[in-house]
Amino acid sequence: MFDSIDISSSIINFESFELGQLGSAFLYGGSVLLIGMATVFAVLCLLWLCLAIFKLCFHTIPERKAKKKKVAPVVQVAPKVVEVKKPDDGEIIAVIAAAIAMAESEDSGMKFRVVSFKRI
Amino acid sequence: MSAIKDFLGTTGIAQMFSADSDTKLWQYLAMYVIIGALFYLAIVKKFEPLLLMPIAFGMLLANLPGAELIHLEFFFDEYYFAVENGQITGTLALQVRDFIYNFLGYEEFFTLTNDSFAVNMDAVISAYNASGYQITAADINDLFQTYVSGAYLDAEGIIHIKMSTVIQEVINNGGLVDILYLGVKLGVYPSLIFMGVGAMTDFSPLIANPKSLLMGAGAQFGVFVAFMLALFLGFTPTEAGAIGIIGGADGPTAILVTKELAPHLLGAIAIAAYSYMALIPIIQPPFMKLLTTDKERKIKMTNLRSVSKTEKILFPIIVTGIVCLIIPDAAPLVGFLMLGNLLNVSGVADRLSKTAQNELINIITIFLGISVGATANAANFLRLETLFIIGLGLLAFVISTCGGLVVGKIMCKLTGGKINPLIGSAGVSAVPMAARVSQDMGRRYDPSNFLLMHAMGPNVAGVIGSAVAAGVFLSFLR
Repeated sequence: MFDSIDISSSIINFESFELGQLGSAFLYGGSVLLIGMATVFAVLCLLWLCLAIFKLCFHTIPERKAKKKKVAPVVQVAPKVVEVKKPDDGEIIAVIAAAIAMAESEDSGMKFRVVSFKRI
Repeated sequence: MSAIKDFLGTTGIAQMFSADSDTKLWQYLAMYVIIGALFYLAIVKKFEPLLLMPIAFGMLLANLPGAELIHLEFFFDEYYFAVENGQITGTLALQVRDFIYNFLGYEEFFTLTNDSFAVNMDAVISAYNASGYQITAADINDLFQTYVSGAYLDAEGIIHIKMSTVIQEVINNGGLVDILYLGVKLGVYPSLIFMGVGAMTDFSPLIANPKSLLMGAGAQFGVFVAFMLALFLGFTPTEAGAIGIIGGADGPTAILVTKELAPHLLGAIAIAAYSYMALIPIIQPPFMKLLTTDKERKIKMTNLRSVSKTEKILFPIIVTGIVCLIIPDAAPLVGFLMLGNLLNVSGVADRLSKTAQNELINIITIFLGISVGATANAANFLRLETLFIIGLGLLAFVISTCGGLVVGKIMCKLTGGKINPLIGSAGVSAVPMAARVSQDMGRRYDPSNFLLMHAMGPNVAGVIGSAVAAGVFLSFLR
């Protein structure tokens, strides 16, 4: 990098320093530009790859599964769904009301009050 | 009568007119004009007021003769060592040269390059061992410290300034702004600001459309081109790196890189970086228009997919792992950016997230603005190199904008016109201003076009990209 060093002077000089020349500055700057841009692109492309895997794992595959589930059970489950709606709502309400009454009773330590019922 | 005379002699006005003062009257007046312009931009034009206003006020404090709120000599002059164009400079230069002359002597015992100096510890140890003297790296360091006070040699023979020396000086003799400036000197503020930015940033558009990352990468082109141009203009590589990073359009990143590579340019670079970020709506549109066709500007992009909470949580963890393992120097920025984001998206640390994105970032912004502004006193701001920095910063910014647009244009062609290249200009980090400019530009040509969410992808990719570019500079040039 340098040929000789003049230690006796107040400032250390060397004769053949390459960066002082315009051509060398271009070479040095150009190499930093290329390596720097390549690094930035490489790192961000790696992140792209990760995000592509994200998409596959958390979006594409679950979506496919969901579609399959949706398509397949429609024929078989449909009658069951109808059956589910059939049971007597009154019976269910009675069970829930009993549970609440139990919870509200003096023996229970719970302190809450049912304000309203909402059909979901 | 003499008491009154003495009192009048101590006033700032008397010092301003004093012939003995290092700073001349015209320099003070020029600085007040610049400060006035910054106040105008911040308060009247509302350009980045949260930062420009504290910066401008910090500049005002630094340019009040006699106030002495900041002592830059504690940070730059008193214990300063550097190698510039192959020459050892700084206040420690003479002591280092004594050490070389008296102890090292031979060329093979040390390495002096264009911008670095290091003692070849192995060579020195071998030579002394061969002569029958058993010495270690610690012994060489001890000897070094007898020659050079306030600095030390590490195991690889590289000189470091003792931070404890600077801190001690600040505590004993420093003022309020000196203490605030320690946050910059130690690199605390940029990382904490990044944590707040991370907590406020929604990375969903990027996760949903990872192609945006390419536009964020393309928009770092100006950073490296400006670095090259700065070398041509005679700046040292470390100074050139600090100037180039202005093109990343990211204030904290620019400050972190500058305080590491060229602390004496901090004031000019911080002011240039924040001014250009504020001027994005003025700087970018002409180039967006120049590099895109009417048809391209009207492209409507399809809706982004929904992003699950799991993806949002995994993203900051994975980005931190990947980026920091490849470029460890980017860790103070990327690490804290992602920590802030994780606090937010995890949903289990709301208090911390709210603190990071409100109180903490606001406090740090005030401290950072004042202390950075205070570094811009007339003596080190009114120089030709400041004009070069401002010019190169603008160029870096423009080239980065064009880089993002060109990548956007290429992606538009490759996807058969599915990507509107206007979102490419948002790759220049400044969140969310650059994305808003893309949105406004798109709506100007088609009022029913909504590009904001699409532009947020390259925009947040630009934040990561500029942090990576900063890491590249720090690992190459430090």
